[in-house]
Formats: sequence, structure tokens, C-alpha cells
Amino acid sequence: MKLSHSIFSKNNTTEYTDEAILEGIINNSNATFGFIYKSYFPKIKKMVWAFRNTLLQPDDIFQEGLTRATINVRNGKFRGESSFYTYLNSTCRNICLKELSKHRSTELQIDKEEINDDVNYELLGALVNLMNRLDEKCRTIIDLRFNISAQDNSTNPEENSKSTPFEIVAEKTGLSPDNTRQRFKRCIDKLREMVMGNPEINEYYQ
Amino acid sequence: METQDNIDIIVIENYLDGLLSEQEKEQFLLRLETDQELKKLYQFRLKIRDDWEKARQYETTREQVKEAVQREKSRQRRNIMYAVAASLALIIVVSGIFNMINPRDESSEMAATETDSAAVETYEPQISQPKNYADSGQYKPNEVERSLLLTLDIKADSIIFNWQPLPEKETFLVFVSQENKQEILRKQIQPTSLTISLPRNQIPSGKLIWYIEGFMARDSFELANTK
Repeated sequence: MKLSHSIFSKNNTTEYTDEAILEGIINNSNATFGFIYKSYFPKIKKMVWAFRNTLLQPDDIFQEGLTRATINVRNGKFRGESSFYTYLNSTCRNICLKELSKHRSTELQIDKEEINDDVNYELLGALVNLMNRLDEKCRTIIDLRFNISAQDNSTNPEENSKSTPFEIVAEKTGLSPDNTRQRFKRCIDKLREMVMGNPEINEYYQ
Repeated sequence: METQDNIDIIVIENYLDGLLSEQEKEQFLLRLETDQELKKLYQFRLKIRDDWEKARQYETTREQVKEAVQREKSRQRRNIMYAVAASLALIIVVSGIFNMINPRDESSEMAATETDSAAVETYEPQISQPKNYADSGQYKPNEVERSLLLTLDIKADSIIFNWQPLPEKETFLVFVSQENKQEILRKQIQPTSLTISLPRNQIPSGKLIWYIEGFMARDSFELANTK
């Protein structure tokens, strides 16, 4: 973190500018996430409590909101048109509204002005659950074939959209190329079976 | 036995890797327009690749955020514990300093209670000594603690024993051997008397302790054997 991006208040605690926050999020800085939690969680908690609904847990809402905001910052979808706090607050508020609409006929009034979010996080959440039901070998082969690194925070669509040749996947897994191809087929087949059998997300893949 | 889906997945993967010949590629693209099952499978393959990537990023980010939040929560809890411990330590130190600065307040209060000569409390006897106090049902705490100044003057043929102040009641001058603590001589003295002279031959030689019964004060002297 560059010093010019942060200012130091009189009581010796570090304050972050929005620029410093975004830089810290991209670099997965513990200090930045610590600052975000310390500074913004109390306000988000108040906002969640204002709904007066026990279905909404402030901790869960905050973590989910910060996760989505982080992804959008890293993918360049947060353009800094509002402050990061305003963006995070709107994200958390929308999560609350969506959560409430699942359980009753609450009309959604999503903050469209603040959120530029075309990602279906409910779908991703369900998909993560399915992924974790696959065995470790399957996940590794699919990751390698899809050219995905779990630690890669930034995504470059042009590079990543290319599939890794099975020969290279085979080298990394220690299997033969034919065996790797067969394993990949079985894994994709199993994944498709699980997706189509899941009423939460199968409609999306029809 | 391989299913048609499995065969199709191989063809799709080969198509994506550019491994199909021109003829195979044409056939595949033609089938893709007419075969709905193949089309669905192909679309699933493309969609799931994108969603897999997004889901992986979502999962990784969620873990990172969760860890960061947990870390900050732990830090805050630790800070609260330190603050509580520091507060307790401060309270102990401050109260200790306060006691050091104001020791006379407490001790004088206690001393006043203990030395109040007007206070004669009714006392249920629980001790056997001194028996006369226990029997009377009264305890006069200052009685045995009264100070007494003892002096002696050794002459050629006698020893003069002096004390201050007056005993105020009939009591005894007592001699005890310093070696075995055994009483060896006892002489009655009058309440108005401040002195008594005893011939040297009445007092046994050796190291002796003398005192007036009913008082705490003790004095000692050594008398050589004159025989």
C-alpha cells in the first residue's frame, strides 16, 4: 500500500482513502479487510437490524456483501462512481431484500444506481456446493482443463477461456492423456447430472 | 460401455482443442444445428466453464473475506481482554498506592478501638488465662499491657529494685531463672510502694529475670557467687 493512499489521523489509527481500500482489496491485504470490518460493519449491522427480521444475520450479510463487492472490485465492475462504503452498503441491502423476498412477497427495490452486478451469486453459491461434492481429483482435472487457478484473483478472459490440452493436464496430474480425457469426461458427466438434478439451478442450464 | 453423451463430450473437447479434421468439424457443426441434445450438451460445456471459473473465484474470495473477518474479530476480542486485564491491574495498583499514601487513617482508627480505655466490653469467657478475668466475665484489655519502668541498684550487701509507676494494687516481685525459666523467688509488694531492698544472700546467684506480676515489663541481671 502506498503511503500517499492513506492518511493518518490524530489518534494514530490508520484511515484509508477509497483508492487505498480498492488497492488493498485487489492485493488481498489483511490490514485493508481489517479496516473495512472495523469501520463499516457497525453501520451495516444497524442497516440490517433496521429490517427487524430475524432471518437476516448481520455477520452473514456483511461477509456475503463484502465477498461480492470484492469480486466486483477485482473484476473492474466497481468503477468508483460512489464511495466504497456506499457501494458495500447497497450490496448488503440488496442481499437483505433478496433474502426477504425468498420468504415473503416483499417487493424488491434494489439499488440499481449503485450496483452494476450481472452475476447470479445464488447460482454461484449453489454451484460451489455441487463442486465440493465432486472428489478432489475431479476438481483438479476440471480446474486444469478449464485453465483456472484457485489463487488467481484477477481474471483475464482471453487467456483463461482457452482450454488446457489434455497432454498438459496429464503431465500435471501424473495420469496418461487418454486416462485424463476419460476422467474429465466422467467428471463433466457427473457434474451435469448433479446440476440437472438440482432444482435451484437446473433451469438456468436448460 | 460409452454413452452417446460421453462420445459427444469427446467430440466437443476435440472441437474446442482444434483437433477435428475439416470434414469432422463440418459434420460436428451440422449436427450442432440439428441435434438438440448435442446442442444442449455443447451449451452446457461452454456455460459451465464460465460458471466454474466464477464459482471458483467466489469460493476463494468468500474464504479470504471470512478469514479476514475472523482475524479482525479475534484481534478485537484480544484487545478487549487486554483492556479488561489492564483495567484490573490499574485498579489494584491505584488501590495499593492509595493504601501506601494513607496508612495512618486505617491504623489510627484501629488503634483508637484497641486503646479506648473507657471501653470495657462484656465478654463471654472462652479462655482459661487469665482465670480471674474469665471468671469475672469482664475483659480489661489494658490491664496487662500497662508499661512499667524497671531499674535496680546493686549494693555491697543488698540489691534495691525500683519500678515506676505505682502498681495500684497488692502484687508480687518475682524472680525467674534465665536458664530454665523456673520461678525461684517471690516477694509481696504494697500498692503504694515504688521500691524494695533485698539482702544479697536472699537472692540466688546466676542469671535472673525479675518483674512485677501483672505487668509486661521484664529486666535481667547476673549475680556472681559470693561464697
